[in-house]
Amino acid sequence: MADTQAITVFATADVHLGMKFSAYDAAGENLADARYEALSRCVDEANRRNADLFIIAGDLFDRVRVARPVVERAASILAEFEGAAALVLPGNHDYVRSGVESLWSIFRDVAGGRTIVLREPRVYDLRNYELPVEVYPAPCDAKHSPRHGLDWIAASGSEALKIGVAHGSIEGRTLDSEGRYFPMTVKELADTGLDAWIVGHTHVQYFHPEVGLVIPGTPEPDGFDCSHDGYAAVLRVDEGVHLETVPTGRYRFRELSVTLDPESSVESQLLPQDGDSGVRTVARLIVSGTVPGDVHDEYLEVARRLPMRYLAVDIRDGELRRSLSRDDVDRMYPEQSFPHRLLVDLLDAQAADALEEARRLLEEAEE
Amino acid sequence: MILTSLRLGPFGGIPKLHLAFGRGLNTIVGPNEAGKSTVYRAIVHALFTPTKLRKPEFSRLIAPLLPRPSGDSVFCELEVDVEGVYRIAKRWGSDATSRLVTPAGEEIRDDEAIRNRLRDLMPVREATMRRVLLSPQASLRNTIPELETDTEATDELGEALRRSLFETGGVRIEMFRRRLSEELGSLYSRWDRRRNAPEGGRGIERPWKQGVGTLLSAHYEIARAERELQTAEQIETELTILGARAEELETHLDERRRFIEANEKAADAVHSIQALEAERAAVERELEVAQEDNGKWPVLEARLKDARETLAGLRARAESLGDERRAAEERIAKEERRRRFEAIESRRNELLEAQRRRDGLVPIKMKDVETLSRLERAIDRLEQSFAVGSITVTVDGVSGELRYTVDLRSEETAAADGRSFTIDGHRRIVFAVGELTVTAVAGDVDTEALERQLREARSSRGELRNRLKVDGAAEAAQARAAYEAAVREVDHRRHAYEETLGDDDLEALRRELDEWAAGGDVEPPPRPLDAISADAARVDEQAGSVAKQIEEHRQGLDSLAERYGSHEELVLTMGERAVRRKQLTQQIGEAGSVPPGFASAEEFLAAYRQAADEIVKVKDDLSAVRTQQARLEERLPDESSEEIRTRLERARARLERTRRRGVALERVREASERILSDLDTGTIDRYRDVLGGRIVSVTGGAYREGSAGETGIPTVFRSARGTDLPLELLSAGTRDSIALAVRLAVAELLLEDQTAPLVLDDPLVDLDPDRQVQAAAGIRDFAEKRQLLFFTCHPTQAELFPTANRIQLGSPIDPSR
Repeated sequence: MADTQAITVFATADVHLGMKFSAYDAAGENLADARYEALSRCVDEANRRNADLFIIAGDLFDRVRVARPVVERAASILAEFEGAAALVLPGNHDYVRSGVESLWSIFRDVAGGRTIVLREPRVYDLRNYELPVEVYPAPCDAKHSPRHGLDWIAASGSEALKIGVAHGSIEGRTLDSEGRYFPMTVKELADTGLDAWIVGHTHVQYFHPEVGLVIPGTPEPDGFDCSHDGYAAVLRVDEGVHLETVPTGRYRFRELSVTLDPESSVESQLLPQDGDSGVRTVARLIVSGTVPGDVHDEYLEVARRLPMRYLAVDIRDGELRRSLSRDDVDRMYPEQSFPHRLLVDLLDAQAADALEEARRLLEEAEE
Repeated sequence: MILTSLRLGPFGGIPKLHLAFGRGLNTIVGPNEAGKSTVYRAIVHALFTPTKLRKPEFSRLIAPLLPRPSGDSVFCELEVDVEGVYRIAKRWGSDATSRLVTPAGEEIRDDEAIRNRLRDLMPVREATMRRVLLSPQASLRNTIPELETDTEATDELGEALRRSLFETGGVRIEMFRRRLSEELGSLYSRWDRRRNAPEGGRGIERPWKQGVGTLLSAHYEIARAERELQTAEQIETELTILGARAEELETHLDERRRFIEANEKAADAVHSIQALEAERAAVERELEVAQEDNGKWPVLEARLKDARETLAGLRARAESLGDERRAAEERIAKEERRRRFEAIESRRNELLEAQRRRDGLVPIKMKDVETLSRLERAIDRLEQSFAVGSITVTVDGVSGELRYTVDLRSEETAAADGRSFTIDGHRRIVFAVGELTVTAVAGDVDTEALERQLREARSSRGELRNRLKVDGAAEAAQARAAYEAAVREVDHRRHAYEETLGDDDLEALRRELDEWAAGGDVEPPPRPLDAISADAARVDEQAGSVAKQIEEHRQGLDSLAERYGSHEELVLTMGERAVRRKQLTQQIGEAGSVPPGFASAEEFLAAYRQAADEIVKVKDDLSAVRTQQARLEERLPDESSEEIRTRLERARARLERTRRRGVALERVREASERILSDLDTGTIDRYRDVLGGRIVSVTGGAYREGSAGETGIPTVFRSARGTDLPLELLSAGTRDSIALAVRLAVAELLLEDQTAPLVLDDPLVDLDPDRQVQAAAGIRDFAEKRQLLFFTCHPTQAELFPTANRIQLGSPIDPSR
């Protein structure tokens, strides 16, 4: 590494502006909007730390054909960055191509002068921005590709700080069994001889101090496979690369598998944990177990209130059973009565789902 | 099981209370809010409600019973007698405890164990106990609600009664069935369960809009998401393929560009060398030509001079031959004129001879020939006129000379001798003797006229013959033909003469010849004209050839002069070209060489041009790929494939849940329908008997069951007067009585010979006094063998049971306590 002044870089990636979250019904709008807030929060945090550079390592946008207002809003947020320059790398979701490039054409039209799209595999010398930094980008030119774009990169002999920006899977860090997402290895990144690498695509943060590799992670979680709360990375690059993790997310996704314990409060088992009010949580609750009727009743009551306690909740309780024995049936309904006969019939047939449905219907038909 | 005592303290609004129950009929009397319901709840909770409750259960069951404002527990103790007294003591809330003490002094504190023990003590199942015998306050009215509705929509009474047995659990079967049907309908609406597919095969391409069930909705949602995902993935795959193709093209383009870039200077150098070499070749060709011209120039000049001299000699010779030929031609012309004159003159002589021959002939005209011929014919005809007929004259007796003329003959003479002389003629005989002339004519003919005509004709003929110098018409015709031939001969000769003469004038020609003759004859030519002409032609040809050579030489010299100006300047040009050649050779040597790997400049330049061509082509290909990519991207859905996949995953989960629920509901329906149709005949018969007895009992014999329907349950009721009344015709009071009978019948049916308390809550309140009395009798009858707790707020009704164990509750309790 050259003996140069320390540089502070605020790094993020995978903002995925323009996501619809239509699978989340009414919460979709909140989730979609939260991504802009996360980007805005990133810019605020970067400004608060007097960051020199703001780098988005790919997938600022979710698709190459997002609506113009999405692009304008993104550009407007980035224009608030007070450092030398904001660099945006096209990722595999918002890839760039020579020739037709409507997304990035629009973006460049509306972006401020200090927002640079790293659309070409060439050295971007930031000394024009009064920063002794050379940026080596590997922009994506497709959604899928078996080849990364690092081949052209070889560190120059200049005194400038050399930062690589790429987007793709990293062996050992990202699940990419078919090698479709510009796969690269830590060694390949290290072999370029650059001082630091900021690599997007993997939504979970990672830091490799020896190589100076930083995966910033997504600033706002976008699904249940992203269990953190959303964060970005602040790199201080001098003699080495030092990482600070900055929380940036608003919502989080939590998948909770609960085998209901009849001895514990149902509410305590299903409601948000860790002091979280839940209104910022999208929950998937996989509820199972066999519980007594009163516990099941309590569960139903709690489940009814869950959508009010979470931003959105996906309850999958197909494996939750109300324990219903012959004794229970005897306690519930008189012998020879229709309900008694029906439940006993289904009990004998071990038709658990039907038994539960019958029990519910009988209860609803009760005077 | 008999209830013997109940202690409360506190429980609901009751701070402390002890009730003792009798084995038979117990009336619990008190005004509203006196605690009847609290007593009832205490009994039920003591028997059935564990003290360790989850919060919701506690809130629902116990919390309303906590003493206000700050009570935190309730307590009750119930004693039951089942071949010994069992004491059940329970406290809910703080210090929740359960305790069952058996007659043997055994103490059980576990809720579940207590429950199990009590279950063993009860004559009927817990639910039967709780929901039929110890029914809540409103249960009686709902035992057979159709009896109260009095609508035409209600089923037959038999079915209602049948259900009254089935619905002892408090579950409304019709409501159950309706809800089940609604839920199945809502779930399977527009779904073909047999084919497990949308109704009418209407998939996502032509989806149902109205009445779509949850299953079909989930199915459509998945189909839509799958279609979108398939589209997105297909486009992404195609984009990936196109991306790879674009990358390949770009790589190739870069490689070609690098080649061009690396060899651009070399290509320029090779182009330069080629230009210099081309110039040097041109200079060398010019020098070669100049050198050739330099040798050619004096030769041409010498040849031109020689040729010009030769041409002059040939022209002199040609002139001489011209003179010779003209002289020969003149002589030949004169000879020709002479021969012509002679020929003309010969023709003229022939003409003159012919004229002479013509002039020697009498010109006989055709008219003359015809006139002569006509005269000859007239003469013949006149002469014939005298030859026709026959006349004979005989002269007798006459002597002497007799002259006679017969017809036209000349007068003849004959000597007559007196004898008879006969003269024979044809037409006329004239004879004269002496002075006597006798004319004899045959026929009536003017012989004299004829004779005159004959004479005139003969005269004319004679004149004509003389003029024509012919003897007759035949000769005249021949003479005329000869004359005509002579005339034609003259014409022929004249024509030949004139033709031969042409435009010449014979006399002028003659004079010309005469002049020639006078001028003396020219010397005959030394050679034939042909020979002269042949010589002249040969000389002309030679002269032409030489002239052509002269022209060629001259043009050659002109060309050289034009090209160089002068011979001197040609020499200078040669020098300049030689110098330039040397310079170019030097420049070529300094320009460089073909890059390594190429055998020749041509091979190198071909590769260079191919690279340039490929760049153009690859750019075109790349542009086409970019266009395809852009078009594909325009077709991308509004969500990324990842988002669609998330949506699809949720939709599939929903469909699976819905399917599973559908299967479960179907199972419930199958079981419920089967159970409803499978009513135990024995049960029904027994029920009918018991019910009949109870109806008689509670109505004081005013009604009994009527005929049974298909279900085996009475469908009509028969009054004491023998009138069958269907349900809708029964009075409200009667229906209440029958409802009470149904309740008692069901309890009796369930309990059979066993004992357990039956709770009735003001069952007589809506009956008129007479019916109250009758019903009270029925109740008493039931309570003779069984414990019955009769709750009422009407003391008068309690008085209907004077022998009952009467429990009087106090004044209304204070709910705030």
